[in-house]
Amino acid sequence: MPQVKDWTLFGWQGITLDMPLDWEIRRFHGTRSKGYVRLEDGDSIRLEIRWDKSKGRGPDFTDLTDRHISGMIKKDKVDVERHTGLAKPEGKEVETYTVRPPETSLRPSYQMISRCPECSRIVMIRIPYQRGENIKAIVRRIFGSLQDHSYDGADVWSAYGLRFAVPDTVELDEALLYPGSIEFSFLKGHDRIELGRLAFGSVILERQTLEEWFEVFSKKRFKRMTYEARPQEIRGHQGLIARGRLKRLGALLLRFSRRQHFHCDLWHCPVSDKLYYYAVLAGSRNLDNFVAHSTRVICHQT
Amino acid sequence: MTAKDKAQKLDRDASLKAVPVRNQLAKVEELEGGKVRISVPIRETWWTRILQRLTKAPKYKKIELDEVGTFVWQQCDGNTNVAALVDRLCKRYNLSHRESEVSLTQYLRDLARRGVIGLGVSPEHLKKDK
Repeated sequence: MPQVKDWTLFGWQGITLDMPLDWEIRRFHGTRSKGYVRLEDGDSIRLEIRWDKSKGRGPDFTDLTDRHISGMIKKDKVDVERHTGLAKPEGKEVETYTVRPPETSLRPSYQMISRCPECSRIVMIRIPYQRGENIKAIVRRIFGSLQDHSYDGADVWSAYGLRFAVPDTVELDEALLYPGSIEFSFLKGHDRIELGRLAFGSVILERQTLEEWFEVFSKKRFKRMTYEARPQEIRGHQGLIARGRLKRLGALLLRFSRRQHFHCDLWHCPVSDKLYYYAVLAGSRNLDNFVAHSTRVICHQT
Repeated sequence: MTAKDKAQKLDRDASLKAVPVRNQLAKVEELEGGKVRISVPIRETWWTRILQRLTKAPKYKKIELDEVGTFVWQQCDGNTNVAALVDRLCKRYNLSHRESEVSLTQYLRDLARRGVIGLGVSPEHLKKDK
């Protein structure tokens, strides 16, 4: 049986699961209310998640899963084996089963459908495996760890070792992975959160101070902002805080709607040797709440 | 089958064994802070020639690489394959192997699409795909 030594937490659009360390996100689309994400281990697809919102109370969960499974059998001519007790994530209505396609070239998969009575979210997870591969223990842990809604008004996001929480009212705008950096941006109307991790902390700080680097970085990244930056220890690390607003032209366009404030925390975590930034551009209604979530970016595990 | 089709058919093993090769026609400028700017000739077609005559459009497109991009460019010496590049990136920037592999392969594909590098693949890997 394959053993997984290292596990991590995967978090996306308010869904979190325990995940083997080398299964990482490769494809995603959709929004918080409906979407898809795929994780791969380098060789093949290891896990797919689809989520949707059930309308109102919706049909009885057993009816729902019965219809889904019989539709699958009819359409794809697959063999479905239902499980009892494979996994039971706390507080969820759950159905788990194995799907075996008739063609030997196609991989069988463990699947789970869950519906949360609290948030009415329907989550479908599919874990394909090679014929003869016994991954039941891995599947049990992944299925059993499912969390599908926000806590304290915040969604936990976690991918490629970057873990943070942002208000559940914002929508993902972009998630970008480059060599050495991972960046996310979120939107709520005109308000915005941008955060990222840059993996060349000490390499950068060999040649320049954090303030000098931020000046160059912000000219590209936050070019519409005017701000004042001052050194500030952030979580015991060397850092700076920049506060300001949109530059005149941008501000003028928004003058009749509302004023937008800019706030950015930047710090170098010597434990992980990475630079982290968390920037907010928001009107006064969301500013404090958005800025408060800066403390929920985890730069290293203690 | 076009070159694009062949590139899409490469499996993970073949991708990791591919060797990034710099575009010999690219001009390299060193910038402040050890970064580089690469000028790649724009591929000439009948309409780019007309456009260049009419508008005096530049014959080169300029691509400025960041710190990590510059590091990757410097490692593209024509001998180092993608797998070795992934290892070097992990060590240099303290990244997980998976993150390095995913981000670097995407980045190299992007550089290849812009004409900054080419990816050399041994014939046996192409034969295997046919």
